[in-house]
Amino acid sequence: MKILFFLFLVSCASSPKLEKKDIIVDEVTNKDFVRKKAIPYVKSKDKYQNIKDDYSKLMNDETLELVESEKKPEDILEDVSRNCYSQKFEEAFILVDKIYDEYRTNPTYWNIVGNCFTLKKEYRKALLYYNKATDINSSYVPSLNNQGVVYAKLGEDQKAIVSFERATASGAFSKVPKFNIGLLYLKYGLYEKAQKIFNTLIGLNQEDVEVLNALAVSHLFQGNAKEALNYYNKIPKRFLSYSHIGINYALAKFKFGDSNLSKDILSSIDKKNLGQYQSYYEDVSRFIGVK
Amino acid sequence: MKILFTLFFILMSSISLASSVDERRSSILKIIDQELSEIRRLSNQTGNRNPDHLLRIAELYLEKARLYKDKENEDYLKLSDEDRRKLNKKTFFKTSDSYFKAADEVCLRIAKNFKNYRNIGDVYYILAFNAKELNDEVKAQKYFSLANKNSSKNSQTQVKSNISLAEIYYNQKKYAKAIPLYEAALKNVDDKWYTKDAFNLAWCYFRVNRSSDSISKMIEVYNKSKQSKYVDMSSQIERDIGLFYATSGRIGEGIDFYKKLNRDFVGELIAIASKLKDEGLYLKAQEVLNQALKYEKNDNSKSKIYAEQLELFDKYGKTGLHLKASEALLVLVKNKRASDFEEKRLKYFSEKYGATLQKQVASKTYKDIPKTLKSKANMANRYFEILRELEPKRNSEIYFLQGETAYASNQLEDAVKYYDLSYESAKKENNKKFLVASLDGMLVVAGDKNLKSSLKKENTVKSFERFLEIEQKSEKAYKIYPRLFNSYFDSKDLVNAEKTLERFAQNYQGDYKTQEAMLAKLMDYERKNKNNEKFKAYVQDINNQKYKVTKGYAETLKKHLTAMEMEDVQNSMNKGDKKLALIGYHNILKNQTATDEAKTKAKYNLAALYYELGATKEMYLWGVESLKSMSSKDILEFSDTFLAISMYLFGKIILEPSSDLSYRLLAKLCNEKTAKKSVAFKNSAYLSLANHDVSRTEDVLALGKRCGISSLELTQVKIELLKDYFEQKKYEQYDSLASELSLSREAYSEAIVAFHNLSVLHRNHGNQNQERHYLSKRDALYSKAVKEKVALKIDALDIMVDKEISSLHLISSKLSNIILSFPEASFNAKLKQKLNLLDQLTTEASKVQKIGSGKGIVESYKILSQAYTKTSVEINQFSPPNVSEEYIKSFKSALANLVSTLQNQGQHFLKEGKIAINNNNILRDENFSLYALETQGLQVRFWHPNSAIIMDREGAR
Repeated sequence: MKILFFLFLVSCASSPKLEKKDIIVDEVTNKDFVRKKAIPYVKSKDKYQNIKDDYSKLMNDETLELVESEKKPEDILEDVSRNCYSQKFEEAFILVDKIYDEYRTNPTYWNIVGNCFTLKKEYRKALLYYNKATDINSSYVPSLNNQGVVYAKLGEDQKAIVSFERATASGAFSKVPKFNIGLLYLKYGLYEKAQKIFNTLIGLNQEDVEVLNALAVSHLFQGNAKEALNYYNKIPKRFLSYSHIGINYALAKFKFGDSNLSKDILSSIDKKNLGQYQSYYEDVSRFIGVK
Repeated sequence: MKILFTLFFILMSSISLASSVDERRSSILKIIDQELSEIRRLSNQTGNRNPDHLLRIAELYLEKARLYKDKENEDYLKLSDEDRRKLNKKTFFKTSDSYFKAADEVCLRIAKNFKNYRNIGDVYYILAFNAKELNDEVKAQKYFSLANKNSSKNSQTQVKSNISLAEIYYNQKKYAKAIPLYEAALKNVDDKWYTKDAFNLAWCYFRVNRSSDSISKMIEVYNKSKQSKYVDMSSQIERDIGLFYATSGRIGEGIDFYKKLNRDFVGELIAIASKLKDEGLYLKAQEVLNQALKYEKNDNSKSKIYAEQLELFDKYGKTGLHLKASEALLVLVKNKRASDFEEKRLKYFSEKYGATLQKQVASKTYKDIPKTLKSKANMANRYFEILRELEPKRNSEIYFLQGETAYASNQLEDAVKYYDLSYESAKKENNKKFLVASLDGMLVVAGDKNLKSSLKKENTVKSFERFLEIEQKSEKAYKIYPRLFNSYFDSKDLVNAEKTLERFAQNYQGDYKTQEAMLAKLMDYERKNKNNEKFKAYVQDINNQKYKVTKGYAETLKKHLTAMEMEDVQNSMNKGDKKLALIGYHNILKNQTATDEAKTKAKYNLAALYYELGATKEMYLWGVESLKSMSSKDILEFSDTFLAISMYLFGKIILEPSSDLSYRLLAKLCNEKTAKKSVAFKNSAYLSLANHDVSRTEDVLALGKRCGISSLELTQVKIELLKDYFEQKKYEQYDSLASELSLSREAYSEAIVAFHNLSVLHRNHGNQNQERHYLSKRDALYSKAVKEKVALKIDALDIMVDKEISSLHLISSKLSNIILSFPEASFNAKLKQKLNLLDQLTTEASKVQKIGSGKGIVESYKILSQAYTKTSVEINQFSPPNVSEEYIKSFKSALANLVSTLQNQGQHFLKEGKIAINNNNILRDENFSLYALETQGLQVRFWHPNSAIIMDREGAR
């Protein structure tokens, strides 16, 4: 899970400054004064295409955050996004500088810049750009969702869910906001509500690892280890070592009676980057009898 | 009378022997006196009745008078001039006068008393003679006429009277009257005086145009003059006969006459002409000279004739002829065919006539007779021309005089020509006087409105330049510079116009006004012709103090210059040449002479152009510069541009400059009533916040407050700043701002959180007083919010609910601390206590839930569920000691419903809690403590490592 891994890195790229090369007046031509024509926003084209990824199969038209595979960007906005997800903010901002004139009226541009700041953990900046996107299009789902993401990252989940709900209300077909709502429900034990959401999502794609995992957790919450394992089993094995999948998978296995396997699963998880899961990992380990 | 005359002659001859005149005179007088004495005695004896005696007495008196008169004349001539002026003539000549009078008295007595006296003619003769002596011509003429009439025919007295009377007529130029008298007298006379009187007769003939008679008489007299008997009149005849020949057209005879005398006829003619001239016979004189010219072939002689003509025409005021003669003579002079004398005369007359005519031209006399005026002027100048030919060293002066004359006669073109020649000559002569004078003249002519415009232009400039060559600084030069300048300027000779200005500026540095006027013309011209560079050069000159102008004008020029440059740039803009406009605005800024206003405009326009170019650095820098320079009013008008730049920078993620620009915009719009302030404020504030730039945010807030930004907007920013203070551990500011926010309804929640955080901080540091202080503030604010029915945010509610939860825990704790025990009364009392506490707990929990905090709801349900469940378990598990089984059975049976109820209630609260979580979307970790009430062992947990998933695109449907 390369992308997720990157998120833990500390960003060192800064936003552009004015230390650009001076304009040489003699080299200016009258054509330079003609602004590039703004590319109008076309909702139907505001999507990622042709992304084939084992991990993210449901939401990879809406986000690259869950996409592990790499490919040549199909447009410059995708290029910006990929750079930011790869923490290559400098490169991303150079592109931003280049495309601004063409995309200045396009909410996608502002949203993607906001995403870069979210990924840089500069959340106030991110919110400013999301606000700009929603200024252009008040029902622009990605930015409504991403405002929620920022709140979620700031620990303000109660505010986050409001944003996700607004996003969902604006984009009935959008998957990420729904998924995010489901994640919050899972986080705070609202399993039934979460399960309902993830059931909807799995209906759209039955191979998406995140949705499969979420459904598994939902069932596990409710004490239904068997059903949980049904979903875990649909997840390719290489993803089961991810902490947010593997720990509960191990727990499910244990609860289903497969103690040994649960221990193996738990031990296969990378313990160096457990983060939030650190104490939970320890609790689960104790629970299933791992020393 | 013959006797008397004889005696008289004897006397005269006897006395001639005297050794000296005086002695002779004395001797004669003695003799006269002796005779006079004798005659008186005789006359007295006859009672003076004998007119012969009386006549003799008169003759003797007359003789005495003559002698004394001679003596008196001699004495008179001996006197010095001064003595002569002083003396009284009447007194001086009294002796002679007394005898003349005595003679006259005697004669008059005779004439009165003896009218028929036979010699009365002699008496009248004496009276006539005396009158003649006394210059009483009228009386003399009267008495000579009486003498003539009353004397015997052809008598000596008659002859003498005729001649005397003829002479009087002759002198009176009454030639016709004189002729018969001379003719009559000369028929009877052939004495020595014949030639003299005949000579006069010849002249009388001449005068009455009897040329032939006059010439004949002259020849007769000339021939007789050769005889010793006659007075020799030949020299006079040789002098005059030429005239007669000349005027009668008998020149050949005249030449023959003079050839015989071996004399130059022309010379004679000239002499004759001169004589005629003297006599006032102009025409005759002119004729003589004309004739002379006609016959004379020799140039040298001709020059003499011309010279004489000059005299003649001068005397008779024949200016035209005089000029003609002068010009003719000039030719001869130039050919060295004239003597020095003639040349001098020509010079004299040329000078005299030139001057005289010029004076006439200049006078008012001919002002209204232009033809005459012009004629006289032309003649004057021809004289001056002659004079100039004669005195080439005076060229400058004479040309000048000609110029003056031409000007006075309104012949302006000629005047220009002459002044010009005068100037050139004066220059060669190094004659400053006429250098200046000619220029003066030229200047005057050049200024004359009647001068032909082409000449005017040409000569005005020429003369001004010449003048200034001589005088760079003078009263006159001061007036000339502007006129010269205008002449050049009017003919579009800007190079020389500028040079004139330069010269003026060098010589009159302090005269701002004139320099300004000249500059204004030049610069206006350049401006109208779009010659910006030249215009700038002038402004530069002014700046370099080459030209001095008033401060006000300098400012005006700057404005002009700038306006011009701005106009150029604007034109470029209008034509779509934005690059040129860009360069133009930069140039304006580089231009030291540009006005501040122009520079400000340039800065603004540069900002706008760079904005169009998308040049972020430049648009920001010029935006800042223009904000510094522009007035608030202008900024308000163009605020959209600054906001657009700020937004552009933001769009390109150039945040600090974007924030800075908005900040500066706000500062400038501070006192204006405009919604743009709010936009600028929010841009600046939120960008500062985004950068976590606390200091800048504080500045923006301070500025926003000063600029009247709404308290709501200020509060929203303060709320965010409050977070930064806390994160950055700026607790003093945090405390201060929290207190400030506690006054705003919109920020009660944040203030409560802040006071709470501060209390925690102090608690962690063991500072209980401060902890209490902040808790007190927190609680007070909360109470206030409740009282004011202000909806608080979850964070604040969660904090405030903690206290209430603690209360619930306290009740719960009390409940747990009540240990059921027997005897029954004790049990019942304790049970009652527990049930009361459960009621209390339920009531309090309900209150907590109403606070609206998710945490409070979940916790309260958890506490309630736990309390009820635990109480039910306690009751259910209580078994009274030391009682029978039956009692126990009965005891438990009696409590079974209670236990069940409490247990159910516990489950109910659990269920309610879960429902509340779901219904209210309560997203709190406390949820799991509620869930834990029914879940055994490990709680399943899930956190997505990314918290939430970022959404890049709308995605496919």
